[in-house]
Amino acid sequence: MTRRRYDVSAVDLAAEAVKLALEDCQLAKSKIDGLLVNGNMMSSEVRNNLQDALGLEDLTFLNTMSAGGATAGTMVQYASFAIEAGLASVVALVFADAPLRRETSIANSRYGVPVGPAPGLEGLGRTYGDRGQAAIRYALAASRHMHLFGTTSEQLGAIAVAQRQWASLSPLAQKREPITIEDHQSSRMIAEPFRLLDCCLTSNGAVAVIMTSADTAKDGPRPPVFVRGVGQGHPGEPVRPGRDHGIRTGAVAAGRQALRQAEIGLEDVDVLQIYDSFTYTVLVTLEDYGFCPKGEGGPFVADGRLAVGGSLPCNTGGGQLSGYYAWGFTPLSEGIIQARGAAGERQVAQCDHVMVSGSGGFLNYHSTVILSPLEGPGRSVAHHA
Amino acid sequence: MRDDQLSARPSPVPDPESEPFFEAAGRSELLLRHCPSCGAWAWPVPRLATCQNCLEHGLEWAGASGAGVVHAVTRVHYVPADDDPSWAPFVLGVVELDEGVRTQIVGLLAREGGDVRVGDPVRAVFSPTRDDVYVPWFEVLGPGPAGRER
Repeated sequence: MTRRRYDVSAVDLAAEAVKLALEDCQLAKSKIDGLLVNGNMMSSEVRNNLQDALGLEDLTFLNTMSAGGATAGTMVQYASFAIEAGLASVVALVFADAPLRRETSIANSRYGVPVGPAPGLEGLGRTYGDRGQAAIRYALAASRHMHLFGTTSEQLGAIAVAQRQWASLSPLAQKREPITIEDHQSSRMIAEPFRLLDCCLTSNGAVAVIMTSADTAKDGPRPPVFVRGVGQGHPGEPVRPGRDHGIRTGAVAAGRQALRQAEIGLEDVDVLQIYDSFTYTVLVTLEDYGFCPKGEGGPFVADGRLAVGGSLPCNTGGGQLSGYYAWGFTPLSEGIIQARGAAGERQVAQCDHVMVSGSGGFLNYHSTVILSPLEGPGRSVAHHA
Repeated sequence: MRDDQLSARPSPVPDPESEPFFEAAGRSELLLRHCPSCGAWAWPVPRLATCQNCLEHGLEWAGASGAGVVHAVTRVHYVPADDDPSWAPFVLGVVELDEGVRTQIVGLLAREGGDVRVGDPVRAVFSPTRDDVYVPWFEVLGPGPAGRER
């Protein structure tokens, strides 16, 4: 994951991840009877052809799912339903993408925004200088939060600094050199209030998660990780009239649903893996889950509680700001690693409940997963590579 | 964004669907989508002629006041590698129009002598782009009343 890899296709990366995941849980490829593929902007060969690329035969459960960065959590939910209902017994969840090309900037990567004139109303955005960049859309939400509640750039910076601290302990992370609030404040401005260090990375990579029933997982070589609760909340396009634009997200509904299913409260959550397209995404999600009142996310994150040694360890692999960018599979994979106690130097000692979020679109979509090494209310099991 | 900046920007290419919108901009009129069935207003979305409120097909163009307030705003400092770096910085925002519609992301003029803030009143103005296609943008009229929120 830490090596820069340009000459491997996304579908080859996907195959490698599935192979590692199967080795990890000691299951034969032929046991896979369900496959869920992360859709949206991902390379089309992954979306369209993964079953054949992996040589999977006689699947009884197959789909490509698209809720942006919230997809991973929705896949966990659907796979658990399928396993419970007897529709499939071993389901592989796969994210793979290879947007970066050698010797070109990220602007020219496959995540690069469209160039040139566009017909009709689509061309209007290009004239304004809005080519669909995520940074602009999230900056509009974050600047509104600042306006309403007095949130500061330094408070957002505290999130970036804390996550880099965690990343410095993770061999999987792309960015491991520690940073300070001053480094954050002097990093170049992208779209106010976001500086470069408020923005996530881009990565070539793949993650595969294997889910099966609790009974099957108990025979495996690794301690099982139980899916104790999952929730979804999709408020829709934030600029719709009457919506509290970028201030209240689907995390409210998704978090409540997941906690209720797991039969735990926020006070039982030991570790957080919060989707971090931008620093602000972490802040607004913490508020919407109820860790602090709406509007108080700035002071809440500023005291270092999310950092190494803090009371609420968050994004312990560095997240997508410092670790790696695999959409919702970044928080999901680190959540699994922590819940099985395999995080090495960055392992959080008390780790009975990990709360994992996914956020997609421009805060349009949200999913929440509660993972635990303890069996309890809830469902099947996740292995990972 | 200033209108002299806009004149260097790439032009939209009007197509049959958007022709009335750009043609109206040329005579300084802002058109929105309006539902003849339920009366809802909407910012025009490409290839969508169905009302998002009542799901009746057949949205029509109708003239709007062009008046509103800033709902959200950001100053952009980053221009993608293949665009002209001299554009930056520029101000983009979402405007809540008096018709109760929010714009998609649009250009705003920085207020003389101050930042653009949420709640500032704006009005639609119209300027030609590089190829003389007129587009609407929003001029900030001054600081909004303290505490005014949309």
